[in-house]
Amino acid sequence: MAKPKIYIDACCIIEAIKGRKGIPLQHPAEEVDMVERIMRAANDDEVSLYTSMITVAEVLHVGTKPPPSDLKSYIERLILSGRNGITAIAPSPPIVLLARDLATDEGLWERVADRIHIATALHIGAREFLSIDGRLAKRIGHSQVRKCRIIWPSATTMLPDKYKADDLFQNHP
Amino acid sequence: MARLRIKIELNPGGVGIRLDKLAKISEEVEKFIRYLANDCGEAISSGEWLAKDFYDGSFGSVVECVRNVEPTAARKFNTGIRFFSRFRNGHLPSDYSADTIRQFIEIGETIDTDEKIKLGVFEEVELEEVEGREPEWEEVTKLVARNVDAVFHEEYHYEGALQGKLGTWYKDSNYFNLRDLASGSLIKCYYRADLYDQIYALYSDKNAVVNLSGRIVAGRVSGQVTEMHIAWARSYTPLSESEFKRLFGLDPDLTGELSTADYIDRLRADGEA
Repeated sequence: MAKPKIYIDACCIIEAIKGRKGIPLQHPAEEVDMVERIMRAANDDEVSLYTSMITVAEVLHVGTKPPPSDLKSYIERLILSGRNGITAIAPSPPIVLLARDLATDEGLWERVADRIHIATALHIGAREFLSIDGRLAKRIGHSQVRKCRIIWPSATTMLPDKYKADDLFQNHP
Repeated sequence: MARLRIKIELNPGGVGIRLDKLAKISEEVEKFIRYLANDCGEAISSGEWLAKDFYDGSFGSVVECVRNVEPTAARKFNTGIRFFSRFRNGHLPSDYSADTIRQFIEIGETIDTDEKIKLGVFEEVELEEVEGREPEWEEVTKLVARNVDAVFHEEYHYEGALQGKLGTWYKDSNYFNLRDLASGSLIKCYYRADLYDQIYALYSDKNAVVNLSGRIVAGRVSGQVTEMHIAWARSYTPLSESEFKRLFGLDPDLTGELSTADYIDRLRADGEA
């Protein structure tokens, strides 16, 4: 059976890297926790996560403290190795044409980068677009674009039950 | 509710029609209207089209789906019949699947250049409106099918990137097959002789997923990539289990004082920031 296809926006990966430590969270902890669970399921080959290749350029350190020396390498390997559960999709003519049409057909006029991400999700046939802050849906005024729902990670219907268990990480020391 | 219903006339003004041609055209037209109906949101099975009310024309009949459909689907269906019958050049919209487009092209293969298939479109789609109405006639010719064919098989050439798993390597021909992770398609990837050592190194890991950049050839309508001419190739070592675990919380200061939402807002603001 084909694995469920989920699109993960850069904001989710950023929150995962920020984690639940350090500065106060801007979002409910359970959302960050859910991102971890979904990424774990993808790394275990249980679900298929996709993101645009431009996510690599969006996940970068802008904080004041020096970043970990291996941060860039981690992000590159996570997204570009193709073996940690995430498939990177390059913008192609079908995607940019779809991004163009999303403006005229769906009224998504603002923010080209948002449209590229959404078009990429539609192009690969993702039914869920994970966005952790909710602002994307607010900005575009839609919680669904064509057949793809724009949702908080906790609203996913595609995560296998075993990844919802409280003792999830006991199996992954 | 509404009906999917057309009239069909073959070899109008002629004396009869060859039986083999009648069978072939019927088969191809049936597939086309079935695929078109599917594009309109109505999944019709092959046994659900009924030919009835035959008349001399030299062959003429009504072809109707045996069950009711939504009026919006019926209107889109009629729009599709008109669109394909009148196509000269330009854009094939994504409303129509590659299967439907290919099938329309197939219809053109069943007739000679001086022949035509007349398709009657009923403007009214509501059930109570259908009976006794005369259709607007469209014509499918070999020329119009070739017009669609020319646009459908037009190629795009662009600089792009692929991510996929290595397949069979044809060293004598300087290419290998790549199983594209996104589409699942097998894509021929050509490389220059000076990239041989690099390609050889990629094959040292049998499970490698490689990132390729270069000139891509793809179908304009389908978007399907058929080949790539490699300019850059690289594979990345995946994060180990312990590295993957460490990723979560690796850099709490990633966006500094900004929330992730504010950071993304600033990053993606068109012409702002």
